[in-house]
Amino acid sequence: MRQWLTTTVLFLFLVSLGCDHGLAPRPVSGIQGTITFQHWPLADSLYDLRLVVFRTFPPTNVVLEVLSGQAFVFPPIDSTHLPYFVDRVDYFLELPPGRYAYVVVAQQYGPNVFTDWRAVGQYDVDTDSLPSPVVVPEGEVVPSVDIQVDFDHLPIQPF
Amino acid sequence: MRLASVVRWGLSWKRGSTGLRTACLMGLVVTLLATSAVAGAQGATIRGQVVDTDGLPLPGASIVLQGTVLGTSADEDGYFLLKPVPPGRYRLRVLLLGYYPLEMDVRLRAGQRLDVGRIVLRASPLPGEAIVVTASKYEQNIQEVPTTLVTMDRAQIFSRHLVRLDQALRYIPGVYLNGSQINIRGSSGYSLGVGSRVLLLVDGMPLMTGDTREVNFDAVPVQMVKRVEVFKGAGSALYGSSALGGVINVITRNIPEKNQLYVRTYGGLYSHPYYRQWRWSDRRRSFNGQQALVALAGRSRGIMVSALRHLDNGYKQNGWRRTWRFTGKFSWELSPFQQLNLFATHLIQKRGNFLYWRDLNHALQPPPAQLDDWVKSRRSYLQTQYRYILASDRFLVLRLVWFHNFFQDNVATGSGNRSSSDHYEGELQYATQRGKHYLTAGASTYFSRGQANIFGSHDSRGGALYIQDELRWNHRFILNLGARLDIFDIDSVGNRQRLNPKLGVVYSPAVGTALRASGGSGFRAPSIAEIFTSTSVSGLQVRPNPRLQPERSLSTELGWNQQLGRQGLLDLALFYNRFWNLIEGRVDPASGVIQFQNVTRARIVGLETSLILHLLRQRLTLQSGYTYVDARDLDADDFLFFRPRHLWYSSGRLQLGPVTLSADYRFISKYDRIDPSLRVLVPDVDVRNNAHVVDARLHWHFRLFGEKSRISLEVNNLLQYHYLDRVGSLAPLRHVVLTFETGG
Repeated sequence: MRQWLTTTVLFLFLVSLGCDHGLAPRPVSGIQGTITFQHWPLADSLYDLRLVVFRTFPPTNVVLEVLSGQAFVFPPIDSTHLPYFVDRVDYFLELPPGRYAYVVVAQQYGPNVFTDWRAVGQYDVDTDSLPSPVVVPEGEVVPSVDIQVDFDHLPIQPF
Repeated sequence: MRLASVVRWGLSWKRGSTGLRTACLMGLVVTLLATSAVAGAQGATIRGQVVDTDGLPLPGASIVLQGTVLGTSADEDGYFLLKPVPPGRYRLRVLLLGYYPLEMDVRLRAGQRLDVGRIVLRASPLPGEAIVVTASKYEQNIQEVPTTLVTMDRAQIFSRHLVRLDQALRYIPGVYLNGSQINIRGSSGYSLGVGSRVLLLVDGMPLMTGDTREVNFDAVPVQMVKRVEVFKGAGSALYGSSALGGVINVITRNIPEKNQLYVRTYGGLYSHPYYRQWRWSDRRRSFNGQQALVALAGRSRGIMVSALRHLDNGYKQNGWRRTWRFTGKFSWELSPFQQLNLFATHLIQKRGNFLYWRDLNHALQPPPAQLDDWVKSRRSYLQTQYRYILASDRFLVLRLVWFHNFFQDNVATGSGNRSSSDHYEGELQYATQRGKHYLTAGASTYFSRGQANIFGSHDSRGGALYIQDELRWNHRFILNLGARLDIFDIDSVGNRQRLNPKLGVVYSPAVGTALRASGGSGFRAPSIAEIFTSTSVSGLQVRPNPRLQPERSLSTELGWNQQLGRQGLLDLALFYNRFWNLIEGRVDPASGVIQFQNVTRARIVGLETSLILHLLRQRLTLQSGYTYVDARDLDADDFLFFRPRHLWYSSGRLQLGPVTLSADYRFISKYDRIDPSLRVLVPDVDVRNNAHVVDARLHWHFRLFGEKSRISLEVNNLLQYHYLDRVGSLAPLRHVVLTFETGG
């Protein structure tokens, strides 16, 4: 009986060594950078302020695309918005690997969470008015995805 | 007067807010007054022990007095106590699966305590197993139940380290827990606990919160459980609302004949997660607890009280929990014909509120804004049960229940959420055996009031009449049919009624074989919380919906139960269930409004098989159960949300002298479909995987100062397998528990 028990315990030990461990964290990939702000509006038009990253441009609707997993936000939806009335804020946003056509700072300026949004700053490294895409490789963080927000000079409005 | 009119009259009579409360109190007073005249008289009792030819105890053996409604079952040591029994001459019958039945004549005088000593059963195939009560509201043999019914006895519960009842239920085939929300054969998905489709009973009476109609496992006193019965079909024909997916009935222990003291203390440690990235604390997380139970037995009265303290630091950040639970049971034999039982439990709990993870890369941490969230709750449950044996072939039971719930959190801004609810329920049941018929009929009524800052103050009330007949055509054929009419009224929503019939057949073509077929309907009235909640969640508005309709179901099953000699039992069931008007919280993207709506028609079809083998002269027990569930949303032509398609649970237990080794393996397939609207709340909500969970235990039994004692070492999630116990929440990591217990 003792031999049988030893064999069983040894077998279970070997099985446990051979098993995987189920869910695992994914390798981190994403973007990071700095958002700078100028000419803040009055507080009563600041219902929310987020960095939103879309896979396609132009997007259809901020909230619907976030809901459908087509867009990603910073700070996360259940956290408070980007800080108001500051000059700059550093960010890091984890993203699945892929091409992102539109990186934008979006302001909710009215009470309707689905419709009252506008772009206030976009990632743009060339001279035209269109946003620049970002490609995020697997397991890598793309640095210096910086955005300038000037509330007096807004970028093109796709929403 | 028509049946519906009678129930409506009952509703209008107690329409006032305190009507039912007053009725409950009056009922209790009247009961006590009516019975005080006969208090002090003694009923007869029959006691004994059921053993096999080797002298080993036979737990679960059925002991019945033939031709009467009286019966009981043997405990884990084979002992039984049948009381109260009116004086007279009876034929005592002892049954157990795998053994020849044994019969003996007994004659009882008033107050006599008859000890029949050891009853020795000889091994052989025969129909019969444990006695159960949930299927028909009276004691019957489990093989005579036309719908699958599984039991878990006290020994099985205590072989695992358990503090909450849901920890025991997750080992029962076909049962799956989504967080603490119970799902039997795919009936329920995940709705943060609101509106359970499984009804939880304690000794036949509901233990459901008055406002959300959810099952709260914290309030169930595991330390006083005798056995748990899980009925896997629509049970509304006997139990009314919420029983459309199944019924769980917790049977509490009888007060022992001798004084008893039981003490248990335990401590445990969680392992670090396998991936360093998930570590959020350098210290190993721990938990510990103590429990004591005292039983004082008198000649005609007995009392049993228990206290439990459980402290858990939590393996998740802000996943801590502190629980205190006090439970008492008082039993009073008023006369040879009458027995009064009072059962009460009070729970105080404070815990961190880990709702969901920050994301997959921070799987054991909540979002930063939720780090300091907590919930504190108080729950009180009082049940009175008065049983009057009118004659050996008929009895009457009056049951009264009060369930109070209070919780408070700091989750919302300001002072947080506060909710308080009271549920009162009363039931009168009559049962009689007339020739081939066993007739059960009853009436019940309830009143609930919920008060919360998110839905205001609202009342719910209802009444019901039910009747059931079991016809034993001959020794091979049993027909069971019945129906229940429920009328309920939820504040401004108005009166509604539901009639739920059921039909079941059991046919035994040979000894050890039982074929069964059953069908029945079920319903669930929407809860106060689902109709009236008005709040804000992450910027989305939750709006009331007074137009909510009750959910409905039709449940059918074909089954085959086959005894495999003395060594085993095979059970196979095919089931087909339809659901209408399923209630779910849905987001309207156009308006940003969340509302509970009747959105789904569903069809759930599947099969379930279980096998139990007793080998090596009963020293080795192997058990395996597999359930396949195909749960389809007929409106969306897709899978229903949050249902695993495959469940496979297996266990083994080996007795080696004073040492017992046991292990469980559970496989739960990943959800086929999740609710995409949760993406707005839960990061990485699409992440899911199959679960492989192994638990292993070693028990050493010995005597300490003459008392039965046990030291246990248990390792749960031995393989350190990471899986989800609900959306955005990692199931417990590997943890080791050391337990010492002594006493009865």
